[in-house]
Amino acid sequence: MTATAVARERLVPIGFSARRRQRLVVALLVGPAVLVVAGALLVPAANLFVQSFMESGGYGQVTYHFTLSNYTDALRDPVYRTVAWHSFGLGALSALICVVAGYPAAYYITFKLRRGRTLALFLVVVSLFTSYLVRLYAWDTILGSHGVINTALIHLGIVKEPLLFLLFSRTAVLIAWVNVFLPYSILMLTSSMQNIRPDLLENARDLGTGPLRTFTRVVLPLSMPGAVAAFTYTFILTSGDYITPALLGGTSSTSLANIVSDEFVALGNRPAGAAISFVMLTIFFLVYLVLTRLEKLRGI
Amino acid sequence: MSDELSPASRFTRQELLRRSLVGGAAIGLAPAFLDSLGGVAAAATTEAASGTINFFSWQGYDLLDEAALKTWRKQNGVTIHSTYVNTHNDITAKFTSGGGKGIYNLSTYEAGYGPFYVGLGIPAPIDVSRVPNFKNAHPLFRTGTIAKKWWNFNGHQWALPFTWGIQAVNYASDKIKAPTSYFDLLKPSFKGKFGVTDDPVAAIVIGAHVTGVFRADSLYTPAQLKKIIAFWSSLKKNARLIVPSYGNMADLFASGEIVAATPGWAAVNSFAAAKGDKSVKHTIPKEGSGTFCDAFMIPNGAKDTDAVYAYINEAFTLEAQAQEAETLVQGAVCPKAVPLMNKETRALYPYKNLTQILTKSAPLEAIPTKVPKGYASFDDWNKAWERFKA
Repeated sequence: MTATAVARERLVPIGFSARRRQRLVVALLVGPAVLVVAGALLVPAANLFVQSFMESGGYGQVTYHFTLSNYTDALRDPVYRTVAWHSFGLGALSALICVVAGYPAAYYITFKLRRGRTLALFLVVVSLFTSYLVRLYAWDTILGSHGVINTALIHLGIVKEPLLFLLFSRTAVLIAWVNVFLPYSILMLTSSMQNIRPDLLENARDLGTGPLRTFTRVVLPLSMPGAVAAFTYTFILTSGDYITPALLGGTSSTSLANIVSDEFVALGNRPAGAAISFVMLTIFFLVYLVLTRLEKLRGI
Repeated sequence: MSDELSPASRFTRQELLRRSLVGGAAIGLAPAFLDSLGGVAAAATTEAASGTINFFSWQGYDLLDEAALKTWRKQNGVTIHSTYVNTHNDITAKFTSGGGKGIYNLSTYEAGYGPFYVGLGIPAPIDVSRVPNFKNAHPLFRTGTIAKKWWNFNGHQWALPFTWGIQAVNYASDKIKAPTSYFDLLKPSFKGKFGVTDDPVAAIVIGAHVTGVFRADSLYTPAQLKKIIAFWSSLKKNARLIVPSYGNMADLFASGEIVAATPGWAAVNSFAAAKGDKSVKHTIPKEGSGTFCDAFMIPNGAKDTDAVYAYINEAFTLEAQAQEAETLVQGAVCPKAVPLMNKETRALYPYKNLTQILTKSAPLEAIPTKVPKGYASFDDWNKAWERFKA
């Protein structure tokens, strides 16, 4: 036996043990999170997925007979389609506004601020300290008939009657969503821009590129993962939002999430509610896949 | 069908309007009066048990603001943790999804939901011997026809009715005159100034009155249901918003965003008054209204029921009934509590004709859970209402 072979024989058990130890560490580190996600998300989701192919057996009851009718009903129903169009459309618009409005702030924080960066990020985060529901109610005092905006407009003589469309309308829902989700977009974009080496911007400028072109050719492509993440995150949470359309949406308030809630709570039709939920989930996945695919196609 | 009512036989609008206008003035007047009632009523006491009541139902039904019950809770070390619902469907969902069983030990249901809830296994049978004060309730609520229909059937007492009332229109009396017809809300002067409440049962009962198809058993053909929803759709076009809950309605009145809302609930007058707007009143337009009666139920699997039984028993003392009628702007079920009410509260509802009213003139809202072929079921109601909101 050669010296190398002897050494290898001795090393194998040591290496094997090290790998086992490493696996154990990984299991201990990841295990709690996996347990929580599996227990609180995957198992209930799998249960709902199975139920979405079953028949309703009366309020809150499920009859375990396979059917596709919950999905065909969800996809064919013109009312659901209209509501889905409004939900996803408004969600996409709010996500787009958050990303576009978030870019200048994130750019300024990342590349222009030197000393106040931490403070700026704190100010972005501090708006998230308030309860979501409290912020929604706060919009009453800003957008309402006797709110800050209408009072100011009337006092300035710009309008004679309060602008009713500001509250209890899709406009109000959009404003509330942008207010709530803009900080998240700024954080995601800032995080993404912090990976861009400042010397790339300097190089671009040295080569005679203007600020706008530097942004569109350097910053924008390199921060695109952050933009995709911010858009997807905002789109999913707004399109699936239940409470904002109910509180601020007026008579055009119903969202797809409200339909899901009605199916579960008012009708007790778990299979139908589950099917609509999984149609929504599929759309969210498709949006995510398309956006990440587009990002890759650009060679970024 | 024998259950059908001619418009002339209904609870007359003039009578209710008069009563609700007089009664509206009652808000804010009663506490001093009620404080002076101490010791008047006859009350049987059960062995009081300290403990915690986890309450799941409408705001106000936990009777937190009634002086008699405040004192009793303090003396007996009973604590109430309340979770309020937005719609009655929240109660159904909570106790059928597993999220409520064993957690909440006191809830309520509206009369019409009785057979439906018993079928779902939501309420546990109540031992009436542990609620001796229930004998104070009018026989109609204990042994009468409506009792056997909604609370006492299949050989068990499933719930104990403690309050009843009318659902029509809430309005801001300092801004508008009381609407005399639901069609008033279609006028341009109401454009964008009122709310439609997300309460399908009350809405469909009111809509049935408006469209002239009302019947006590709530059996409507799909065509009639379509007609009722069409009426609400016409209102929605002129409305400012769908009001998600009665609690939210009070906020909207208090902030001046709406001047009226329907279906209404007289208790909103109190909720809005607590938020600083004492102008909110409740009125019955000429077409009619919904009538409800809510009952305490102990959900299956409830724990710590000694405190719950003791509390329910206390809620049927005459003082508690008089105070509850005042606070909630609703009807008491104990006739002997009526003399303890102040003049305005007493004038709210016609206690002398209770049987006639709740069985004939303005029967309690029924839920069509089991329907003959050719009629719209409760599922159809909810589905139609879901589409109305969309």
